[in-house]
Amino acid sequence: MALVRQSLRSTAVEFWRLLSGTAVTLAAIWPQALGLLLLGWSANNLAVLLGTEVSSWQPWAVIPIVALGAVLQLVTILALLRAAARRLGVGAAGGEAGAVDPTAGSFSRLVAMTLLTFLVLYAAFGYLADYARRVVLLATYRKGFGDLLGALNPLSSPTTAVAMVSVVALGWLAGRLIEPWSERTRHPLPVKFLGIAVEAVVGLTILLGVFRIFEWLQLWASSRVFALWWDGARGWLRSLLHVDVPDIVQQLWSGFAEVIWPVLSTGVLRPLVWLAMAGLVFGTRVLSLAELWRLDAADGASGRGGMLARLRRDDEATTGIRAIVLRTQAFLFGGLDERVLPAWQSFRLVLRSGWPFLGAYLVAFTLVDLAGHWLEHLVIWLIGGHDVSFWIRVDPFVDLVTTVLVSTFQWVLLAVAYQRALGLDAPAGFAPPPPGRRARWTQALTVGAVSVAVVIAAGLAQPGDVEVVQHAATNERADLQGQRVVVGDPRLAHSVTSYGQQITTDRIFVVVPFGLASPVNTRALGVDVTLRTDVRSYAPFNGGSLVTAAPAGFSLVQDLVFEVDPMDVTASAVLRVRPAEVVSGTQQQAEIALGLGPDLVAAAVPALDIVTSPRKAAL
Amino acid sequence: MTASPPETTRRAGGRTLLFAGVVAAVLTAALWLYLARYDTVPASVDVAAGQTGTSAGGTWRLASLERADSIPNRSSADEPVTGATFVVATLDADLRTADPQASCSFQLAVGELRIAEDALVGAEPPSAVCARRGNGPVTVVFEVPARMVGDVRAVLVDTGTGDRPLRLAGTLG
Repeated sequence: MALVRQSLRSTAVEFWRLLSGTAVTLAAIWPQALGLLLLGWSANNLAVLLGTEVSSWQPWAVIPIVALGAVLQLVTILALLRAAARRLGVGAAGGEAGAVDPTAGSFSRLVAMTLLTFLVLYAAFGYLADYARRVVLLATYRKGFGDLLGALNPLSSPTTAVAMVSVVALGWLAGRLIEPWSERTRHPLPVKFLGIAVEAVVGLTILLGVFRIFEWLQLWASSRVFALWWDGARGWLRSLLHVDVPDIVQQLWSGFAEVIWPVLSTGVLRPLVWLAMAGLVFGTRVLSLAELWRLDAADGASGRGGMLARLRRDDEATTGIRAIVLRTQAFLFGGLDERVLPAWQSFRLVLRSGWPFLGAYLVAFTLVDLAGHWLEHLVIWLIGGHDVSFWIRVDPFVDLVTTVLVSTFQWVLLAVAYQRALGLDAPAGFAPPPPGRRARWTQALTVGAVSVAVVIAAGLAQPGDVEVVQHAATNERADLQGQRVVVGDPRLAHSVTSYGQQITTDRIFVVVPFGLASPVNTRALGVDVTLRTDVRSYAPFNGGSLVTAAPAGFSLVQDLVFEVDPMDVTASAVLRVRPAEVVSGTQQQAEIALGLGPDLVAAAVPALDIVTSPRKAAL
Repeated sequence: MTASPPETTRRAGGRTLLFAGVVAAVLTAALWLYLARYDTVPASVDVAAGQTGTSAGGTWRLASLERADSIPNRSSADEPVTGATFVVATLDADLRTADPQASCSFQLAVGELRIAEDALVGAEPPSAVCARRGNGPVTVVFEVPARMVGDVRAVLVDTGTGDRPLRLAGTLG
């Protein structure tokens, strides 16, 4: 018990140190932090704007434009981390041979050394995909459906397919050639920037188009004969074992993928990987395999030096086929040195920082992340529901609030955390780990349980979608983003007659006169209407939940018919109405209380004539 | 660890970055809002009353705008719904050299509203007339709330080729 208390106390102390260190650092560097993130926000949005404008007449130009925007935004983040590192007084780490103090050298050199790995990890967490999604959304909205995605769809024409695959292949090849070129040229930094730009272009090409080839391959594979063989094999296995093993595996996998993995990846893995990314700026020096080959004669006395010497002798002695294989391996996979090894080494350093620190950092990161989501939720709630054209205009400004305010805190937290991880914040340093395996396990389990509990709780505390709902009763007007809704008193019947045809139910029909008017022009298709009870939602029986918009200046009135379980005919039954937009942001919605009750079920008429075609009237 | 720059230099650098960031953000925001100005009201090319405008290789002129309480069709006559009236626009169109990809759709500008043509009213839909690529009148019928008839301002012609719609000014005769 004492060990548990001590672990919790250590974690709390680390947590406080992180937050207070972040606050102090941020207070010192807030002008440059704010300025840099504003520059990054500007680069991002200018790239999206420019990409949208050129998308209709030169779709392929969208890729390098958006890639440039992403790279520029990452550069500002690197600059922020560097400013934080300088403020924290962080120098070279680990004392490795050839280590570089990132705060002392030129910024462009730092960018050239670290941006590539940053870009890869940024893409892995979906940020490049987010860029691509934004430009596609805006281009589709402003320039029309099909323009951008259609032009970049490799399945639309063989030329596009060949061009896309060529871009990816040539980009990969260029990446392999640029690295040795940067080591031989007298101007390595521009060459490295070129390599980074090539990587970003390849990444976006995959995100915007090549993924369709994989989708097509999946569809193709699912229609092949072996897909039927697999289904047959599953059926045979099921009959043999009397247990659907594949189904059980599928359910287990779904449970892992939908429940456990999001908690692990978002709540645990992501903060640690981000911390490792920050470590790249703080200057962990990693020697690639190629660099090992090119080292001067190493000291054979130490274990590490002996290994280097053996590698070098091995390299010099290698001839024939093996030499070709090694060179080819270096050429094909040498890029992994640049991308993965630095981040991996940084990640390992982080994991060795002790359980209390790790737990405190996870909790701090999670809470800041949660605060960011709630801040965005609050901003959207304050703005209220509007149509998509409003949100397309406003979205960057909502992003500005969350990006600049929350990200500033997050990046500085990362810098402070990495400084703690390196044990560089003298004089405190870390408390030594408790002696004994049992004590260390107790500490690990205690901190792990607390951290995972906080991550799970934060996941449950995430704000949902903002709902802006106005409440009305029957015969009261509700305005929804330019459309006007009036719902009449509902009637209940055991059968309805439409166009002379009688339809009977063993449940109950709820017939609701529904009026929709367009006093102004609307881009919405109409409204989406459902009848909601405590337990279920019902779509209209006669034709789906979409009620088509009235022409501008007119109204349409029609009967909506819902086939409802009589047990659901209660006072809490409401009609939920929301604008039907192809793409929507936070919308205005209306909830119309229908005034139903069990007494109305008893009084239901045997049959009702209904009006299924909308009646049009002038406003 | 190397010596960090003097505090005053760092502060000056910070203020410079903040200034640059604010300026960049303001310019970006202004550009964003400027490019979004046509999201709700699409841009159009204004053509003065009685004048001719060109779009997608064809020329258009608003010859007349008349009010009608019924429109003859092939069998009898179409009536507007209660509270509404028809506005009949007659346009002189020369589509002999029009873009083969061009179509034609019409809207009536009534105050801030844009009322779409009623293609089901009348003997022949305007799109069929356009498709013949002739030189002559095109008749377009709009159903308009009667109380808004006084706000009729113009007829918009969209050829669907990406050119901005023509806004042919005119009022009810």
